Amino acid sequence: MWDHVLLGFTVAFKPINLLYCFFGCFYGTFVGVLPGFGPTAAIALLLPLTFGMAPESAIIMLAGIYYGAMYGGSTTSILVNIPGEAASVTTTFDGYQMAKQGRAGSALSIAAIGSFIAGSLAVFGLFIVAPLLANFALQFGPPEFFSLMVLGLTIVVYISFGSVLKAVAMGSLGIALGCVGWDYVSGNTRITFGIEYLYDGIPVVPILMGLFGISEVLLNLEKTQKLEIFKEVKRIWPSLRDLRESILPILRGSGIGFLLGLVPGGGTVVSTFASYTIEKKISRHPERFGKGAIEGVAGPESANNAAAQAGFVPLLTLGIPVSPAFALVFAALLVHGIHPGPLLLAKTPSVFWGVVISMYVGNMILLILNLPLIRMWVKVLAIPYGLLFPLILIFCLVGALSDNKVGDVFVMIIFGIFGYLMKKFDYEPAPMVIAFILSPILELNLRQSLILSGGSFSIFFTKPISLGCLIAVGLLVLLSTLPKFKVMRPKLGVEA
Amino acid sequence: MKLRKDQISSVFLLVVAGVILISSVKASLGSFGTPGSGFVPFLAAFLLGFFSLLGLVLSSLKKTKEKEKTLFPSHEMNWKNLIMTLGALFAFPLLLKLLGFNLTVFGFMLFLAKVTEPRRWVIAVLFALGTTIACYLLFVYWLKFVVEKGVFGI
Repeated sequence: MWDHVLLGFTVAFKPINLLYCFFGCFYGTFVGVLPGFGPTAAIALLLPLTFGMAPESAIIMLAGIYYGAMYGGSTTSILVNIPGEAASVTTTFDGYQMAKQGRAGSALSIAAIGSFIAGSLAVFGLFIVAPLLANFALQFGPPEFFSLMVLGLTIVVYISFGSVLKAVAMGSLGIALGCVGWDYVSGNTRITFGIEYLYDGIPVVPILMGLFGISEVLLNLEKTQKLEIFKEVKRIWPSLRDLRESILPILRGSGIGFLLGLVPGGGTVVSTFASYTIEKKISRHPERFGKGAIEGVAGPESANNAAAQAGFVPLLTLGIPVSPAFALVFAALLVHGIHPGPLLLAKTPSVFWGVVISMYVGNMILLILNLPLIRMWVKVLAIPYGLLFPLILIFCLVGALSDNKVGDVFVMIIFGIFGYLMKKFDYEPAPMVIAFILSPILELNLRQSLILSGGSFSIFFTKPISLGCLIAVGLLVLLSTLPKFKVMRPKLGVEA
Repeated sequence: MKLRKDQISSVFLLVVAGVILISSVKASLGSFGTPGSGFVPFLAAFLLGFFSLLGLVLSSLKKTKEKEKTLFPSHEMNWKNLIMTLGALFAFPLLLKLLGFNLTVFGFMLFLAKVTEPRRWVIAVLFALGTTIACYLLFVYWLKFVVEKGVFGI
């Protein structure tokens, strides 16, 4: 293992990878700071740029964007009372109150320090958990993989905002869309309606850029909002008392974030709500929460960073993206000819270990970017959206042209409008995107299992791992019908 | 009778499910022992159709006392910006072959910078020019994207 760690250091400390890591963190923080522009859209926007890079450099940069956005999201929550991205919603509860009391600096610094500690602990967790899980997953055959993916999709559906029916419908649509084009088993085409462009399937990148980039812009464009920003950030460093009150919430948040980050659909958003609820529950003064309790900032901010990094475990070891942002990283790996799964560690250790070590480097970069440079990020909030949105759109349009196919641009625009309407009609894109990405693997494993069993579905119930996954699916379906859990569900949500 | 938004979306998804179902059957379903090309899309479309139908029935049976939130509230909506932006988005790929990459990017940026917010011409032109140069350097020069030159050869 130490050879691999050394390999990771060699990869992560290559000057070009350090540069990509810095760029990813910088751009991620920038995106996190901007309200109404999430990390998924940010990754989608830069995905075409990664096609010419080495695979490890591409993933190092994309990972940097993702956890960088988690750092940056807190700034907007604390100073504007608008979450920079979904995982910073809970930070608005106490962070903004702290800013109103003149403690914006303390809130921002605790968020950054908490994120750094959580990120570093999560890297350590990745070290331990990922190889174990990859070894365990080597026992998986087609039935186990199929059941595991069904479990992943069920969790994503269960955790989604709003109606379960709508989430299941979106998941089913995602699977169907993923089947468009050539069937590589029989050599036939399906659902192409004779359109030659669709023979290779619906391209992933334009769909994601449309759903997360274009639709986001259309939603923001329909109304004009004025932001009230606290520009006065006096003392950046936290006091000793702040640190004392925050250290345990940071450690608890890191643990909660890491564990929930491993679960498909758990991700950054759920972990912040879980951390906030736990901190409030165990606090001796729960009445302070919502009125500027530093624990309410420290816990969730640590949790979202730990979760952002833990999500790489199921992605790289099982090939299961836990959220749309990870689905994009998954797509990037596929573009580079790397298939995420249990064999990734053995076949391309440089990618796995390089990315893991780069995360630690990225956390250090982010601490520097977010503490001394905090005043610069406050200024970013003043960029008018009228200048920002044409830039986002042109990046999407030109990015979609990376294969020089005008059809890709139309696909992106159509899915942009579709994504906009989905949000208008209260449908979440996350189940559709994750199902779309997983669809080819899900189909392959289902068909292989049925061929192996001669058409009997009992194969999924006779293998212990597969049975375990399906029992968990059954329990989740049962839980979603219980009134108590029905009430809980809308508070959660998969980040988009 | 005014349809609720859940009813509209359910009907739309039902139609989509129907189209996929027919297409899957045409592609051959095979058998459980040897599933064909249309097997998985058929299952997915069946689920989509079933849950959309369920959604349609439930939303039709639901008696709501509260007035449903309007999809496009007229007092909040900035229709001009939305329509102009959508128009520009569709125009971009259509004009690309004719005008070429650089002119299309310039025109797109100038249009959005000028139309969506009141802005001085000088600022809008400089913004569009700066973005066009940046796009050329990033995508064409550095990332070697193959782009259209258009009738002007630019």
